[in-house]
Amino acid sequence: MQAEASVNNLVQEAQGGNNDAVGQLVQIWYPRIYNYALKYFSDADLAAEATQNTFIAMHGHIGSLKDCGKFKSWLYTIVANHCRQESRNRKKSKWLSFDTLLPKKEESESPAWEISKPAYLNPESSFLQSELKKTLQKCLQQLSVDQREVLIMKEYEGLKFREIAEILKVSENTVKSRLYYAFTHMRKLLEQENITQKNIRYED
Amino acid sequence: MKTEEWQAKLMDYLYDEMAPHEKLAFEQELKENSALKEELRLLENDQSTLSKWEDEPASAPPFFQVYQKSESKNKANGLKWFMAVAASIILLMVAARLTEFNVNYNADGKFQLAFGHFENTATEINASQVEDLISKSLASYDEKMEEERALERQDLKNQLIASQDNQKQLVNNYVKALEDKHAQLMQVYWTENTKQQQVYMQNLLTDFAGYMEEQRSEDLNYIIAKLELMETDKELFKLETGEIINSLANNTENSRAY
Repeated sequence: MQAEASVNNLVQEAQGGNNDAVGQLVQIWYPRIYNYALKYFSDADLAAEATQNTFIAMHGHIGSLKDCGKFKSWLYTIVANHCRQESRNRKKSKWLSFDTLLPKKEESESPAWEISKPAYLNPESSFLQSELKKTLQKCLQQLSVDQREVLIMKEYEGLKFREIAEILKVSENTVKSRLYYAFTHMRKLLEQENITQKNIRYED
Repeated sequence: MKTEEWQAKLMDYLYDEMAPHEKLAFEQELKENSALKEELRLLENDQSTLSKWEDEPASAPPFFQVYQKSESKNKANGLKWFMAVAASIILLMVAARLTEFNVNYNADGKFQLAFGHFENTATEINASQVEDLISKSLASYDEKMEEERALERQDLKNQLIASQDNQKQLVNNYVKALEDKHAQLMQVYWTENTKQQQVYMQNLLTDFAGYMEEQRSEDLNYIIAKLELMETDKELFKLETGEIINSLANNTENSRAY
């Protein structure tokens, strides 16, 4: 609650033209927005670009935000729009980065469990965690944009159903329905990849 | 209740966004409805699997320390711009004065710029003078080039002679070294070869002597065996002859008895 009030104060100051407040807002929200975009694209470069564009838009239009309490929803609306726009652009022009084709220098020199973060108890669990993450990324990319957005916002960003409905401009029931189908779809995809709760518990 | 409503309730319960009285009613329903309970269990499992994907650590890049945006529409800012332009013009004027920068239109109506006084650079020369100048300069250029070429040729020749001698010396040295090495190698080869030949011949003679000895002993054994065989045959022949004589003698006695 105190944190929310602090963010509201920063938003008010940013609206008043205080650029330090804008900088602080960026520092606070950057990890969340970046992780949203990262889960949306499964691509660090695209995520960084979408995050950068989001904060540039935030800086440029924060004056137009009427209710400071809705800053969080407003910010997620911006990033969701940027992500959707980028997805459309990518569909129009298919390109393939050399980064995806060639192994990165650090990856070629060191196995995945060594460079994965955070460090886990042992290389095996670290490796399994890295593999599970890759599979989840792959499955999430196979969901429709609507389902993916809702799943990331709810499961990873912890937004309320009301907030998600506000961001996506749909009813709360639609959000819940999309989330339900996102779960069932993910379950099927994970089963295809032989990822079940039993396997994960065994690996843990 | 419709399926969509159950889905919505499941989601609300899963994320604990249900009013207390609704939650109690839903929990009661869960006790009675095993299919609903199973559905909730699956959703909780999915949620648990998804939660394994942790956030990547990220921090804002330094350029997000937002710069102070200037208010371009401000009046004070406009004055600043005006003062800056005026100061620049004054600076240019002072610099032009110090360097005696002059701008002028001459008598022919041509635009001229100069630092200091204007000079009349226009001098008229006719076509034949231009041709003379060009031909002279070409001739002097040709002469100069010819001299340079002759010098270069001489240098090249000297260098070639010097390099030829050097090369000859180098080749001679190389051939001599090669011959010496070759002779040394041949000497070593023949010495080694002779030694090996001697050893080989000695081995060969030893082997041959051994072979001959073996052959002789085998021949002797053969002769002894043959002689023994002849002796045996002789004894047998004697016995047979004795038997024949006896039988002949018996036959003679029997015929006399008749």
